[in-house]
Amino acid sequence: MTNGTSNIGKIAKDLFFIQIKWALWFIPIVFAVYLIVPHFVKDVAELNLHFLSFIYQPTKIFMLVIGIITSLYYLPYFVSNGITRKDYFYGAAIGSATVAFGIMFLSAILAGILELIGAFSNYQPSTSTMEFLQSTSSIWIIPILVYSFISIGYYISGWMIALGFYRFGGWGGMGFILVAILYINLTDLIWEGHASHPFGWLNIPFPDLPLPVSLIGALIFILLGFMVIRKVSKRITIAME
Amino acid sequence: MNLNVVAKNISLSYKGVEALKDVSFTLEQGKTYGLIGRNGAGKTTLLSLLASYREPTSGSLFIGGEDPFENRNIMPHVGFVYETNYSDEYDPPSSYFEFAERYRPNFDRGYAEELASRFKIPLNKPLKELSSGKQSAFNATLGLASRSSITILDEVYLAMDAPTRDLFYKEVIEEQAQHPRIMILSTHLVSEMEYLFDHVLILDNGKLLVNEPFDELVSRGAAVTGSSKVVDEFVNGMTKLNSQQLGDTKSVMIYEKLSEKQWAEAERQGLQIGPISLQELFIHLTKEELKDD
Repeated sequence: MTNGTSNIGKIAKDLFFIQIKWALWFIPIVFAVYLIVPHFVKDVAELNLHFLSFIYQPTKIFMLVIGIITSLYYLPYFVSNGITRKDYFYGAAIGSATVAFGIMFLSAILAGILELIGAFSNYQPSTSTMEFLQSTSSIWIIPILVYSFISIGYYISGWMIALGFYRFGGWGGMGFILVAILYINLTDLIWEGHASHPFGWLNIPFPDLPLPVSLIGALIFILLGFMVIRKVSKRITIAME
Repeated sequence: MNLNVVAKNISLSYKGVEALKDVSFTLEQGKTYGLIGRNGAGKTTLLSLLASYREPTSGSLFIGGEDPFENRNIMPHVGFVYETNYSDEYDPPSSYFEFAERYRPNFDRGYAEELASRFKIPLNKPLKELSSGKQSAFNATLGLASRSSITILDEVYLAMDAPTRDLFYKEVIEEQAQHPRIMILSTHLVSEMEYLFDHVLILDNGKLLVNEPFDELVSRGAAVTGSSKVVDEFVNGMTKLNSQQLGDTKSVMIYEKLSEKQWAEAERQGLQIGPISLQELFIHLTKEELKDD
């Protein structure tokens, strides 16, 4: 009668498919914008961005938003269906990480198709990566890895904001928005060497880190973020609505 | 594994309010429990503890001898349905069934769909578009078809119309016979549901006022009717819940188990002793609160 086994794999799979379905709307829209906008906006055309690097920026916001939505909706839904908070946490963490990689992987396929077209026609696909990745000659593996890591960070910050509001209400939620902004900025600092939204104007002196250091730093940051989330949601009260 | 419930001295405070005060009880498999209380008595709060939505502030709760909170051996076996707000829910009932089938160990999809058709619930229409009565019937369907060892139905019948409620009550009896488990029906609509209960728990202002088998509880209450003076003498020293007088005829509702001797005495004095319903007991046992309101 009692199954007692962990449902983490099942939860991760379910959450992956739910969110990748949303991404299957998001990716084609960004792809269409990528193909159309450079014809009209000179600045964008000059950037000459590879599709992976182009989709990276909107993916951050996409991940932030789905981080908020899934945590607000699915945490209570799973717990009310007899899933422990712990299993949900691990399932959602794995699910979100695979979604981040999934988006980058699918984008890489689209970029690959553009390259193929370029090889057989006059079309010339853009090839530039983000500035902070120009030290590496890799335009596939490293960007996929790095952009996915950063996107996971944005998902974590969305998850934090949702939990802040869910557990602590208005002011607590506001506090968690600040924590999330700080978290995002530190992530961006590790990679891009400067802070981002809304502190992009701040000129924080930060060394350009070698790639392996940034990668390890990002991993540590992701783990730290997940630890905060687990701590906040470990015994969270499920609201009845 | 026998998933009986043991609650010992449970209290719960939140936002400065003591919602539950030192509540103790046990629940046994195979029985249907009526959890009765006025609005705000703490019924839903108590049930949310069983379903691990939250933890008690003090006291202990065991299901199958284990603490249910965050326990993956226990939580899947506790099903809790209540009046849910579906105003933003675009998913149809069929998605909920699919989900329950994946995560509820005893969920019976075939039975859920059969019940949905009897309740005339459209399976593929967004829940937000269903009437409140149909949403209630959907909640009841989810609760019954999950066949959880601990099935909690918290006032899900309020919005159903009378024929639907009748169908639901029959289904509760049938399910309890075919798939015995702990069923907890919480309500303040006592009169039409009392025949379903094996055992009654009455919560009042966060305290457990009554925790008794249904038969014993109703046999304890009686209405003593007769000449005013005789009635007054007879009920002297007994717990009186209510009294009514018309001319010289008086009727006093008592909460007391009468002995054989008392029955004989009443008959000798020409007093009439009638039963009182659970509804009346509930109203009068929780009446003091009414005065406070």
